[in-house]
Amino acid sequence: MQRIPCRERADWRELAEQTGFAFHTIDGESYWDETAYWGFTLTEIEEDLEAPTRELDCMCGELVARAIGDEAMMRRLAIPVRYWNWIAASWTGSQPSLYGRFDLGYCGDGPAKLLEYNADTPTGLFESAVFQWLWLEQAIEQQIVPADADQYNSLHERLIEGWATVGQGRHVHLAGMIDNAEDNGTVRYMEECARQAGLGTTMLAMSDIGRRSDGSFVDLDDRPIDLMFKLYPWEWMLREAFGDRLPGSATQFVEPPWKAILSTKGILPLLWEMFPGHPNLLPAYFESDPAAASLGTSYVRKPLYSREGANVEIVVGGSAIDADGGPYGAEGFVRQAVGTIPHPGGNYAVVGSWVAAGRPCGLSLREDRGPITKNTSRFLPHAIIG
Amino acid sequence: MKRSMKIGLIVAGSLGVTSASGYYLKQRDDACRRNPRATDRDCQHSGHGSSGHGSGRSVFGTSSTSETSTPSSPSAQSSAAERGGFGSTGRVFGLLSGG
Repeated sequence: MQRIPCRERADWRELAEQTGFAFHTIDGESYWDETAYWGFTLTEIEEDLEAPTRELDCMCGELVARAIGDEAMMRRLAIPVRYWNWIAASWTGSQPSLYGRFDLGYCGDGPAKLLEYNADTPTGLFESAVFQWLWLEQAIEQQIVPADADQYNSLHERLIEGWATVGQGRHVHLAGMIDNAEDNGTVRYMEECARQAGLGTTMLAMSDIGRRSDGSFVDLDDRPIDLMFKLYPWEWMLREAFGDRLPGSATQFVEPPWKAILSTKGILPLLWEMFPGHPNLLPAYFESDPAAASLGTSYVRKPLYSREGANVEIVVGGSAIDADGGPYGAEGFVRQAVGTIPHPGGNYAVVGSWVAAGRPCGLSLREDRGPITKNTSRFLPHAIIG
Repeated sequence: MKRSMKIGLIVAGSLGVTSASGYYLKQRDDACRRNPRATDRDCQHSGHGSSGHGSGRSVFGTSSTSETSTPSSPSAQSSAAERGGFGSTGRVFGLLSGG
């Protein structure tokens, strides 16, 4: 695994605009960054990233299976009681998942370690599945990468495959905070995947979802919402005004309600309890657990619910070396051992490992000048070069 | 054999990826059942299938505003339903919904 500086394609910004990748630059700073790429060997991809991702996905399934029958676990995850049966029914009823992304600490010289799991609303989707692949094609043509370079990336195909299975030709409503350019782009890309899988689609804002007196959810034309993709966290939906009507509604959601269990950082200590010493896990504890003291004075403190690095703090030797602000933390915190991530030239890189349609299927690399990956962290492409 | 030779991914035109045949032919069920830690029930919860590859439409292509898409129009709002019951946290936090 190595970071390889390279020249940019001269016209990548125009190409990004043409392909709908409008958020390639955020607040004047490049989000898409092709001044370098990350090179992997095929062995690193297959043995160090793909295989562990498959195993972590299975381990998370075991965790859900256990949690839905364990009130103590549900309480520790801060999931409101009134949703427990509904969440459990979504699991026992085999409501399918479409996708997720494991964020891993990996340096190429030891096992990849799970930093967190974006189980519910993983983003970076279009740039991972499409724009990154386009970069590879053109980088080969322009001799930016070796002629035999490759990429670990079948995310687009897996999403279409997943939609074909989940949707079964039905009509899907896709909802999110679509006035935000990045969320809009992600929802639009997911809509395109659903269309390519043969589904009819309607895109709408979360605030435009309607609720009728019988409790059913409808769109702006008062049509019932049978199948809904939501780029909006379960932990928010469960606590909002319409949340109380989720149980009992006829709407099928993507991601399914049982992903509410996996979208909390509370799974990090629970996985460590279930699989102590697993090579792809870091020691982790709920902050209220006396065992958290075993981490000593160096740990990463994460809110149970948090997005894009908000309210995450890295403490080394008792002092915070990096912290990001935000509105999270009311539900409590976990502490995780400090993992190692590569940082050549002060560029801290985290590997995002995608699962779609039930299989590991691609990578995304995010870099930041600090060790906490944030919304503004840059996206770099990757290639298999050996 | 390198990964994309197995994938057969095709980039069409300037708009991106449109079709491919899959590489990961083994489904998660098989993977989980090989994992001694996994139970049968753990392996039944992913949407997977054997078809559904690209239809030839381009990503975000204007031509893909297809007959299957049915825009939901604000002008068609009905008073039969309450609205605004979702989305408040995102507005208050002012954060992206993804992670």
